[in-house]
Amino acid sequence: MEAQIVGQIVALRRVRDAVSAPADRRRLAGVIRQLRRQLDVGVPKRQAAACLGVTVQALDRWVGAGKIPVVRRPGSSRELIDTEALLVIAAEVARLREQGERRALGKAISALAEQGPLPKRLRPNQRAHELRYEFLHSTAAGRMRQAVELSHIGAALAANARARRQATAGR
Amino acid sequence: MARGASEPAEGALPRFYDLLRVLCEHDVEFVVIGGFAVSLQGYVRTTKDVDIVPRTTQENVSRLWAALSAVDARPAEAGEFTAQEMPMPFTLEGLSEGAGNWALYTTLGRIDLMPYVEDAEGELTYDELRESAERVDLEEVGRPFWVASLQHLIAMKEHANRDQDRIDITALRMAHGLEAE
Repeated sequence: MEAQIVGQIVALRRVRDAVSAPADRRRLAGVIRQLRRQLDVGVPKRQAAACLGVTVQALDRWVGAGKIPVVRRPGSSRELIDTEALLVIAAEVARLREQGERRALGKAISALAEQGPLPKRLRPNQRAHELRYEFLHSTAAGRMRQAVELSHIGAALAANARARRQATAGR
Repeated sequence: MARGASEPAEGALPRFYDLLRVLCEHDVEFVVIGGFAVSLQGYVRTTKDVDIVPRTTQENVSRLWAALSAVDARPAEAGEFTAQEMPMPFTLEGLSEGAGNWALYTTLGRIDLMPYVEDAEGELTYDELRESAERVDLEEVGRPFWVASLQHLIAMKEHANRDQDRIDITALRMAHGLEAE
């Protein structure tokens, strides 16, 4: 199912890029967004491998080499292929295959690594369970208040640092 | 609008609630995105400004202009915005065109006006954002306002793809129980 949706999104994005009428582009964008909502944060490896036209073992080698980002759902140790990355890679693989390229996945990953559109996996300083706990035990209003307080502290620290720099430069 | 307006005095703290209140009191229709939206949606972090997507109807833009005039708004450095995002002068006419994004200093702190935002599929309009936005009621602001949905926020951040956006995406997903370590 996921493999089919990924394929549809990749194909529709290409159509959208070829359409020049803004209204038609917007309509297509709406359809793609609806499809995108059907996908989770990650796609099972078997489905992802099917999208890319490779075996799970081949896909695993790229994952093991750190070239394809993975995610995990809470309470599960199973690695899933990051959906956003999969969409980018699948589009590049499709493009290369159309050009008659062999070993398209490896070439796609190299090209994307060079161009930089593969999403990086950056983590917050807090652990997942802390973030989850804080979210479940707070309200939007409470979080807004916390954010304002934190931002005030940040602004005050920045102002102090600026003042110190100016004082040092003036000496 | 006073062009020589000064930004808040050195060391003065931004007054975010007051800034939002001024917008609400002028009946400006807007959706909050950016750092505050991230905090409201589940990941509390610092931010240096209020980011909003205003509705771009003529009536709303006039109300927005009046609100901005009340807080002496003037453009900050182009800095984070590309030339494509700031093609218009910062005037009521420029705002009415709705084609540009502006980073503005006001007497209450910085505000980024972003009538033009995108996700991977293209432009996301105010109406699309507002349709799934969540209402926020804050005593400090006095009137309700709207914050972008988690889904739209993540989609915009995936597209922007800066380091802070990547951290926000992961943190929001973790907070909402969508992703583990």
